[in-house]
Amino acid sequence: MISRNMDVSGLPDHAFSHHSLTWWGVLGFIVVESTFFGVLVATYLYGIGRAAEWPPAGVAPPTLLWGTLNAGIMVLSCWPNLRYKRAAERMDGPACRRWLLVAVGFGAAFLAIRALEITALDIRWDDHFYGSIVWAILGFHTLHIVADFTECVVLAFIAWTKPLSPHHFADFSDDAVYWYFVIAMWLPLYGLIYLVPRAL
Amino acid sequence: MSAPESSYFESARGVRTLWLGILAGPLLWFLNQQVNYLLVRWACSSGHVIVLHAVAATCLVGALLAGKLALGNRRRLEETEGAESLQQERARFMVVLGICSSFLFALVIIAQGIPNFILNPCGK
Amino acid sequence: MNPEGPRSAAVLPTAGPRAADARASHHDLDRVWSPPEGLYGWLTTTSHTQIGRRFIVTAFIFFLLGGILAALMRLQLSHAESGFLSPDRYNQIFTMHGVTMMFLFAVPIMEGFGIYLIPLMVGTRNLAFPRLNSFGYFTYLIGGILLYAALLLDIGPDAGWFAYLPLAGPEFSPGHRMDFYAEIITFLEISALVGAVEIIVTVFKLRAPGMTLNRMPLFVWALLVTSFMIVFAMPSVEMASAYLILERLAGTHFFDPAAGGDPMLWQHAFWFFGHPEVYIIFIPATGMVASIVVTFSQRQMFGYPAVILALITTGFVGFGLWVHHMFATGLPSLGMSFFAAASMMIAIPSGIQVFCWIATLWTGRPRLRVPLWFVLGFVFLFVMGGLTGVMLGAVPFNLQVHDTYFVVAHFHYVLIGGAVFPLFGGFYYWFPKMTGRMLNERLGLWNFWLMFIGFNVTFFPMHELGFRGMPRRVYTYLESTGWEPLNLLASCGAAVLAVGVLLFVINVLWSRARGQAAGDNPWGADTLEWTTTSPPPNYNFHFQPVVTDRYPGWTRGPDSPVVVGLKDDAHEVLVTTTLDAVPDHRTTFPPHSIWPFLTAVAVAVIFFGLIFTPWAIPAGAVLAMAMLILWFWPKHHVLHRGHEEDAP
Repeated sequence: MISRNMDVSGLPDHAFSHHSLTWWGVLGFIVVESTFFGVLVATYLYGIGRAAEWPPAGVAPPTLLWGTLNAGIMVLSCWPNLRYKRAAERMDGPACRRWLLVAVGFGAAFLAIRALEITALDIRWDDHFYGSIVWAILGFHTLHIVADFTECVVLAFIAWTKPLSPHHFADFSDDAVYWYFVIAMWLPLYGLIYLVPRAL
Repeated sequence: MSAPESSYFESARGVRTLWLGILAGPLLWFLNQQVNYLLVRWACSSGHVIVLHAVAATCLVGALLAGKLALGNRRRLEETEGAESLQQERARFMVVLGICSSFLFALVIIAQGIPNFILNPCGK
Repeated sequence: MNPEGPRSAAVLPTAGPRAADARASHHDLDRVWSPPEGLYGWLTTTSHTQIGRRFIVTAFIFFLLGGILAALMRLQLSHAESGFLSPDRYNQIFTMHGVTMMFLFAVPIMEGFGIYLIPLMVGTRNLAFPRLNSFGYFTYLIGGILLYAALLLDIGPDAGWFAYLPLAGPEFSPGHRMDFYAEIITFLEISALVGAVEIIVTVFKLRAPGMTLNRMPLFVWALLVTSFMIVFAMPSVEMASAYLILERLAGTHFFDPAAGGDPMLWQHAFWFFGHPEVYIIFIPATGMVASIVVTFSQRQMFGYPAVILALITTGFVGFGLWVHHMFATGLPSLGMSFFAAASMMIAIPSGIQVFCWIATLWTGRPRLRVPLWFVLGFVFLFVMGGLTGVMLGAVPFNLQVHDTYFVVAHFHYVLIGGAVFPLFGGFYYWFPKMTGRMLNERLGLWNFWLMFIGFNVTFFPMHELGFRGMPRRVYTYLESTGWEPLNLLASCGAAVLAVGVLLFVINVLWSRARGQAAGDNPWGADTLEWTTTSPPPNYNFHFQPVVTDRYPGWTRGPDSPVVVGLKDDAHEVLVTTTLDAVPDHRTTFPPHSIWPFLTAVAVAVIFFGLIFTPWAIPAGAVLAMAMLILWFWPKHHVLHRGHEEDAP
């Protein structure tokens, strides 16, 4: 008798991109965190809708220099990030090791500039609603940079000290997806914090 | 199995149209409600109440287009001959969902638009 | 969504496995998938059946605790000017009753059923991201315990489960009571969010081959829609409670009108979550109802696509209703008309579902067993609650009964009628699968009728009390109001209801040891979980099934096709494509681990510490980060090729 059983032993034991479970998990958390950012943006807009003046009288919008610089570097970092992702997907160990170091470098640069950006603010979170929401948005986005920077450091350490398996490459590829998310989130937030108050 | 029509609903493009049919209606309804709710204060203070109707009309057209897309997919399915594959069965199911959801939400957008004409939208 | 073309399919017809191989593989599977023994095993397990059962039991204990709080309130209100509870104590009790039932009972128990049942229903070995699942349980458990510890220490939250500002703000709620609320809610909802992501990925990627989108059981559809709702709704309350934390801890001005803030911001963010929350509780319940209706009428679901359309519609419309909780707050009238229309709209999908269930029962051969009794009770109560809901959707009526006991009656009909009754039906229905023994039928009927009668005697008079003007959230009333007789009646009803629930507890304890043995499929049910043993082995299925239709429980036999070629000596599962469940690749799940538990403790330290000092953030963050790194650190196991699941 020929049964219609399915023999799956010939299928690969790892996968990239939307085939892999982890990719879907990362996507799930990206959606969750985007919703968090959505609530922050909605709060900011709600504040504009209620205020007679935005920012409040006597307060200047944040200075453009550091925020713009960070946005520029983030856009630039898409290119190494893409190379990193591609290297991971063709399971090129040496290239992945190099690009991971580059990613760590970019992460450190984002954080350093963000520190300057925050110290350049002339408002405090407990001054008024405007101060509270600007600090909340900057803080929450910084949290994401810190988290992914840490992940990159750990992955780089693993990549340089351990033999790499296909599963590591899948993790690298998903890490690159998460960096895209952190960068993609900053652009609308940058527009909201830096450009919208100037356009009003 | 190898008929081009059956593989269409496995291709990225075919799958996109199937999901668009199902999700566009409800998403447009949600958009309609949220945008109008955001705009109502401004529309009343500036007198541009027509904008509220325009938003509703745009969303309605969008929902109807999604319905048309789903109907087109149904025609495409009916044109295929022979025994139905697993994928076609699934595509048929998504098409039925798409047709129903698009037209249901088109109706809802109309229903929500009616009070704008009857009631004075700006009265407290 | 992502289309996935079939990859180079190595799926070949082969001969079935031989009996000797089968015995050997049983042994291997059992060794690999069994969690360790003892306390260490309890803290480290990643088995979805264990964690799911634990969610259900824990949530049920919180249900009993919340019920005790409700009983205390009914005692206090049973006669006018009672001095049984002080106003301060009463505030804490009614707040904790709401918090318990919404956050600690309803959502976790529904997710618990999902965590237990979904992998079985889709025919796989475990939930996706099993360690995250363990982490989710411990955040929930720790959060719940901290809240109740606060209540016992007289520092329980006391500004309502909705915690309106400015009452919950630093000015009007000094002390740590509302800090507990804000911190623990933010912490607790992490559990709901990770549970939702796990369920979505399991449903999309781990379905048995052949289980296309249109063959998924309705319960799975219901949990899928629910999980999506959680993903979009919970962040709103998380952010709102984070604002509240900052307001109380760091002196921000989100809700302070004197500095440009607005207390209404809280209401918007809270109800943007709060209304979908009702459907997050109700939709899984409808999934349970659908399972029970199909099984007990022994026919296919009438209008399967219509029911799914109704689920999806409810999922969307649930997000368009939140302002109807705020009709009395002075919004522009057009704004209100949108939400009034949507509030009535929601009756359409619910109506579709009710008609499909009735049609299924009508055209089938219904067997009136206890689970079906609970479903019938549910239909009756839910229709009543739905009708008062449509009444409340009308703005003028809403303003009349705003903040009265009419509203209390309405939402208890919707929540207890709409979720707790199906849930009890679900207990009776799935208890045999979880334990291998049937619950007692006669005791079950007593349980049902006492709960049904008790419920109506408790809550029906509240409609009338509302019309007579009795406001919600008051700890007592004057005798001259004339509210006493109906309140006494309601309190008597609550006692009957409590006896009904007590009978259920007795039934569970008795049947666990002495109940009639169930066998694999005692009800003749149609879904995959009934094709394995009761209770299922740690690996769920000896061979993962290959599905050929929508009702595998009815059509599968000993010769039905299965998946072969998965490793027996590793945590290996088959990943399939999103839409058509075509085999895609094999993946290895991580083994049991202590780090999820320790990470949950570290995160708890952050939130608990934040009640007292902002320095908890850096201290706890370092701790949590260290735990996470250890969690994801690649190890090389003897049994398993050392792949660790790695999500951010």
